[in-house]
Amino acid sequence: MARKLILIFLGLGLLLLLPACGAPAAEAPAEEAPAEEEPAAEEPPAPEVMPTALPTQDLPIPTQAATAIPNIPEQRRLTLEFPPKIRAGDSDLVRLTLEMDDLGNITPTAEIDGNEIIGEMVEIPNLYETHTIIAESRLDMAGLEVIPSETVSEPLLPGESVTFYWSLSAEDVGEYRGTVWLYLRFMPKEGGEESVKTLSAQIIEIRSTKFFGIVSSSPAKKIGAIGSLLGAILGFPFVDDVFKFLWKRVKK
Amino acid sequence: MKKIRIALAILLLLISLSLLIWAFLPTLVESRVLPIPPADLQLPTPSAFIYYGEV
Repeated sequence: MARKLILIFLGLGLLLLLPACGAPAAEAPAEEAPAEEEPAAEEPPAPEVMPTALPTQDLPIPTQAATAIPNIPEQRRLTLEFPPKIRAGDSDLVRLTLEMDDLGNITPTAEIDGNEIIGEMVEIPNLYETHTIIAESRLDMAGLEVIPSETVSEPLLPGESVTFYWSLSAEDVGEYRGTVWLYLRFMPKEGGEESVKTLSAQIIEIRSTKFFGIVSSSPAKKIGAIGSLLGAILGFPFVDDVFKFLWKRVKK
Repeated sequence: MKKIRIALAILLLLISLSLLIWAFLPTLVESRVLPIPPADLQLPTPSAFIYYGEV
């Protein structure tokens, strides 16, 4: 009887132990389903670990920084006027103007099917407030006499245009090429290193000519004036009578 | 004699007038207009450090 009781207890004990030993194997599939959900439930902590990667993906921050580079909030127009042909011995002017573009609109504007869309104004630091801006220009041209030959500078003020003039004169016939340079010199008002930016470098070609390749401008004017006078006197219909009359008066 | 004089006068006048016209003719002026946007009127910055678009 006692043996039976011992066997029954052992059997019960084994029955109780069996689920305990098989539990990991038996319950694993049952727990796998929630295990899949758990990562989703446990993901909120994950972003707390990831924020270092977010700034590199959210690139608008550097974009905003790039668009906020200080500049001159003006639309300008650069006009270069020069004579493509000059007379040898004559002088002419080359003019370079950096002026306000009246048609220029800093606010980006678009029109689609009659609906006008106006872009947002971007706050751009104004360079006029932080820097003294000097416009510098130079005309490099070999073979022609250029005055002034050195760099000319003029302050660039808000809303005002800047004009540079050069006087050119040629002595000989030929084709001359040169470059008109325009720089902007930024001088910080609070002191610091100056910076220079090349705004434009335009190549120009000027041809110097003579009358039939022989007579330059100033002799042509003199010869033309004297010749016209002589021709008019010689071609005058009563010039013979005038000369005869004068000759008689002189003789008497 | 008179014909020669008149021919000479006409020739002289033609040459002289053409010289005067050539010498006083106004020269042509070529004009070039270049629009400069505000983006060009900014401090010189090494372009390698400027980010302009999306990656």
